[in-house]
Amino acid sequence: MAERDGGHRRPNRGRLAPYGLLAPGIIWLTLFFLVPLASLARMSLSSKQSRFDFVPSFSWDWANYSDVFSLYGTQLARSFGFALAATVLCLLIGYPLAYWVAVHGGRWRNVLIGLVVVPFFTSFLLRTISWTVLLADNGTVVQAARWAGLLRVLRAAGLIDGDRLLDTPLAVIGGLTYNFLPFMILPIYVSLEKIDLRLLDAAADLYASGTSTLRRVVFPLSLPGVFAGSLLTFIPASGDFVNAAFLGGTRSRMIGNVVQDRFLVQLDYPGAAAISLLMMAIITSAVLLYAKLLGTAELA
Amino acid sequence: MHAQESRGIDGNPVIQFEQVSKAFGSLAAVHETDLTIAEGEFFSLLGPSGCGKTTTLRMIAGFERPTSGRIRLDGVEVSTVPPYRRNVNTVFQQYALFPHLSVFDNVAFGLRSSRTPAAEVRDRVEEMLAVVRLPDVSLRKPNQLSGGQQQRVALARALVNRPRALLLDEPLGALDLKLRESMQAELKRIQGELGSTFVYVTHDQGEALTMSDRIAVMHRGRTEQIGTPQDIYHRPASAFVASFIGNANLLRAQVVERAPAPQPGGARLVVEVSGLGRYPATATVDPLPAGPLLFMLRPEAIVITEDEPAQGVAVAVTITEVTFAGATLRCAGRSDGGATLDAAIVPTAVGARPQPGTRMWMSWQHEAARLVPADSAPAEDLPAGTGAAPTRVPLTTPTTPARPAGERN
Repeated sequence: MAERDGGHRRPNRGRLAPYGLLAPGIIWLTLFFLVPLASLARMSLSSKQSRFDFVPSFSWDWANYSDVFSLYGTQLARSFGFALAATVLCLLIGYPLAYWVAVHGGRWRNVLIGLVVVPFFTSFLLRTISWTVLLADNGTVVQAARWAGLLRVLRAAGLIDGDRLLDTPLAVIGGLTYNFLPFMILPIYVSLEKIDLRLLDAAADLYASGTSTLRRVVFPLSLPGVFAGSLLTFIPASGDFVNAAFLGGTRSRMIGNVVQDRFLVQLDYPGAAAISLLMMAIITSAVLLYAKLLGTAELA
Repeated sequence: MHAQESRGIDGNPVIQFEQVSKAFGSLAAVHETDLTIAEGEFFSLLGPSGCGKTTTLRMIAGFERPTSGRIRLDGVEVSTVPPYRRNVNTVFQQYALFPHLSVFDNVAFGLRSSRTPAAEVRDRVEEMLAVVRLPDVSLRKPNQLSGGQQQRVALARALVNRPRALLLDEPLGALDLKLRESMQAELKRIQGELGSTFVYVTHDQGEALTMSDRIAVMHRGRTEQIGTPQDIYHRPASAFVASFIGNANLLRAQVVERAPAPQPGGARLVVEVSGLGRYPATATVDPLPAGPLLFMLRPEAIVITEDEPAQGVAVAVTITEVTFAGATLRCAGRSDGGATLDAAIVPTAVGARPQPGTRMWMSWQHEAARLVPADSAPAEDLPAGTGAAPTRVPLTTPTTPARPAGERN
C-alpha cells in the first residue's frame, strides 16, 4: 500500500501521522465526554416551566445550583467526609502492605500483588451485597463485636446507633475502604518498588535508623504513589452510591444517592445536572489543592 | 594461601579483621581474612568480580555480619553493630544519592541524623562542598548534575561526617577514562588534605597501584597478598597476583640450585625453566611452598636486541608476533626450546625493529626474574596444571626476606 503512494509523499504523511494517531482519541472524547458535558451544563441551567413540562428548557436558571447547598448540603458534606475517611483508612492499611511486598516480597512480589487484585474477579455489586450478609443483625460479626465490647465503643464514637452495624455510617465507610483498597495499594506499590534499595543502605550508612529512613527517604520518594492512590480512592468514593445504598441507612445517604434519585426516580434533570457539575468543580479544586500541599506536581 | 602482612604499619589500627569469614548459604564469600588498616592509610581491596572485596567492605560498613571472626573499629568489636551506629561512611558504587533531596540536603543528611545544630550543619556542609570543589550547586537535585559532580556529592556526603574510615565501593566505575583519571588525583588530594583513612574497593589494578599506600589482593574470598604497590608488583606472592597485576610471562620452573645464605631482595636461585633453560631467579615468598613453581618475567623488563648482549641474561628467540600498542610495541618471541615470551618495548630510532620471523635476543636483568608459587591460582588462568598441598618447606634458612630500603613512599 505504501509502495503505491510513492516515496515523495512520505514527508507530508509523516507530518500528519501524529494527528492520525490522536484522531480516534479526540473523536471519542469529543463525542462521549465534551458533548455530554456541554449538554449537562446546559441542562443544569434549564428549568421546567410547569409540572407537566417534560423537557426542561434553557433559562439561565442558577437557582438549581443554590438549591444544591440548601437542599443537599448534608449529603454533600457527608460524601466528602466518608470519602476522606475511607481514603485515610485505605492509606493506613495499604501503605504498610505495599511496603512489605515491595521490600520483603522477594520473588513472591508479583504473586502477592496479584492477590490484591483477585477480588476484582467478582463483580463490585456482588461483593458489596455480600457485606450485608456479613454485617447482618445478630450475624457472627455483630455478635463478636458485641462480645468484645466494640459496639459500645463505636456507639460512643457516634459511628453507629443502636445495636447494629448494617445501615450505619461505619458500614458505608468500611465498604468504601474495602472496595477501593486495591486502587490505593497498586500505585503505592509501584512507586515503592521503583525505589533503589541502595538508598536504604545509604540512609543507614548516614546514621538514620529504620523509622528515620522511612520518614526521610522512603515516604518522600513514594509520594507520587500516595498522591495517585489517594485520588483513585477519594474521587470515586465521594461519588459512590452503591455502598451507601446497600450498607447505609437514611443517616448515611451520600450525594451519589441524591444524583441517582434525582435523575432516575424524580426525573429532575436540571437539579441532578447541577449537583454533578458542582461535584466535579469541588473535586477538581480539592485535587489541585492536594497537589499543591503535597508538592507532587514536580515529582509526578 | 600466601597472605602476608608485609611490614610494620605506621599509625594506629583503625580497622582490624580477625579470622573473618562470611558465607551466603553454602557460598563462602570471604574466608578467614586477617586485615589491619591503619589511620590515615589509603588501603585498596583489589580483585576480580566475585573475589569478596565488596563483601569485605560491606562488613566494615555493617551491611553484612561476619559468619565467624571479629571486626574491630578503633579496637572495639563492632561485628554486630548496625551500620547507623558505626562511625564509618560509604561512597556507593552508583553513588545512591537521595533523588528527592537537594545537594545540600544530601550532604547534610548524616549530620541531621546525628542531631547536629542547624548552624553547624550549614557551616560543615558548605566547607565540605568547597573541599570537593562544588560550591555552587547546593540547591540542585542530583539528577541535574553530571556523573563527576554526583561523585563529588557522594564523597562530600560521606566525608562531612568526619568518619574514622571512608569506604569507597568502586566509586569511579561509572565515569569515563579521562574523568576517572582526574578523579583519582582528586581523591588523593582530598585524602591528603583531610588525612582520613580510605578503604577503596576496585577491580582496576592500575587504579589501585597509582592511589594506594597498601593493597590487599583478593581472590576467591581469600587475601592473596597484602603489601605496598611496589611489593605487589615486583614481588607477587602467587601466580594469581602476578597475572592480575600488570602482565607477566609465567613459565613452569623447577629449582636446581639454592643459595647457601639469604640474599638481599629474597633468596637467589637457579631454576630450570621449561622450554627456556637454566636462569637465575629470586623467590617472592620465603619459604616457598611445596608444589609447582612459576618463573615470572614482566614484559617491560625484557630488552630486544639483534646481537647477543654483553650484559644481563639473554635468550635467543624467533619473533612470532609484533603488535602496535600505542606507547609500546608488544612482541612475542619463541625460544628454541618452545617457550613463548612476551615483551613490551618502547620503539626508539636507534633500537632494534623486531619483525615477525627474525632472530633476535631477549635479555633482562637477572633481578627482574622471579619465582612464584603456582598453587592458589585457578587452573584456567595458568599455562600448566596446578594445585598443590598448602604445606610449606623451607627453601633457605627461614628468615624474613630483607627488602631494599626506600621503596615505600
